[in-house]
Amino acid sequence: MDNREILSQLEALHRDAFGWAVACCAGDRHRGEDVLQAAYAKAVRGAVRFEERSALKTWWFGVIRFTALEEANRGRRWLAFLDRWRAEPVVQETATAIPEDDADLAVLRTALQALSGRQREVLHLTFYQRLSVSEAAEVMRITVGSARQHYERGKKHLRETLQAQRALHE
Amino acid sequence: MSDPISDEDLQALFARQRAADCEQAPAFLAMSAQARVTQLPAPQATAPVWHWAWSGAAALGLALAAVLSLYRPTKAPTISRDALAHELDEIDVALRKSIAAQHELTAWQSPTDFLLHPNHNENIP
Repeated sequence: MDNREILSQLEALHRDAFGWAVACCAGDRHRGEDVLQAAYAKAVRGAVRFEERSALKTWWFGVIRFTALEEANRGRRWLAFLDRWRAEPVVQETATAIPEDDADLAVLRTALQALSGRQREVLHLTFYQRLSVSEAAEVMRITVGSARQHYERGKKHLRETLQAQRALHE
Repeated sequence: MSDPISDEDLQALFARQRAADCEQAPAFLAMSAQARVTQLPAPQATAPVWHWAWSGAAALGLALAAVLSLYRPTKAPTISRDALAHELDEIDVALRKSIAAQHELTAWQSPTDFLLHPNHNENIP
């Protein structure tokens, strides 16, 4: 499958991929967009190759996740470099605020931020992207057992947080 | 007390989030067109070269220190001529004493040694 073919298939996954890229950047839409852009650039230039060993979606989500990790590492190095030259510590940019029209969604986003990275990832992949736990494990490059553990713990934690938030508003 | 949150509640929440995200997703065509002109960042090396350079320099330094400590010439203790002559005299005296003692030992005879002598056995039948 050449790059053009892959790009045409990736178009169908574009919206899901954007959601995943944002999730990989802890809810920061601007960074998510940059990550997705970098992932597309990799696909266009042939820097990543789909070898049909898995479903296109799990492969593509793996590429996006890896790209997000790369970008995060670059960001950390750059911040560390700036810290050496500046007297005051650099405050890392927090998730970009979006126009709030749904209080429940705001609560969900806050509750997700309280989870560990792995728990957030597996819950996003299963509930948001409707992947199975084993597919999520493939994207995250972990074993199914480990993914299941993150899934159960994350779900329990998320429920507790949402429950507490509901009780607070009632 | 509020009702417990079921899996269906969670799915509904995530579905709403998904719908909200879809509205804000950037256009695919714009992103793919931009991707064609985007310069890819240099591939990230697993370990920067200077890490290896530092490790190599440290290993070389350690090896050099080890070689120097092994082959360092041992200095002979400095003794003055008089002290050396005095020491030699002491050794000489000790040697002489030892030889004299050895002579005394070889000259010693047992008091009943004559009984073993054959000249004293004439009266024995």
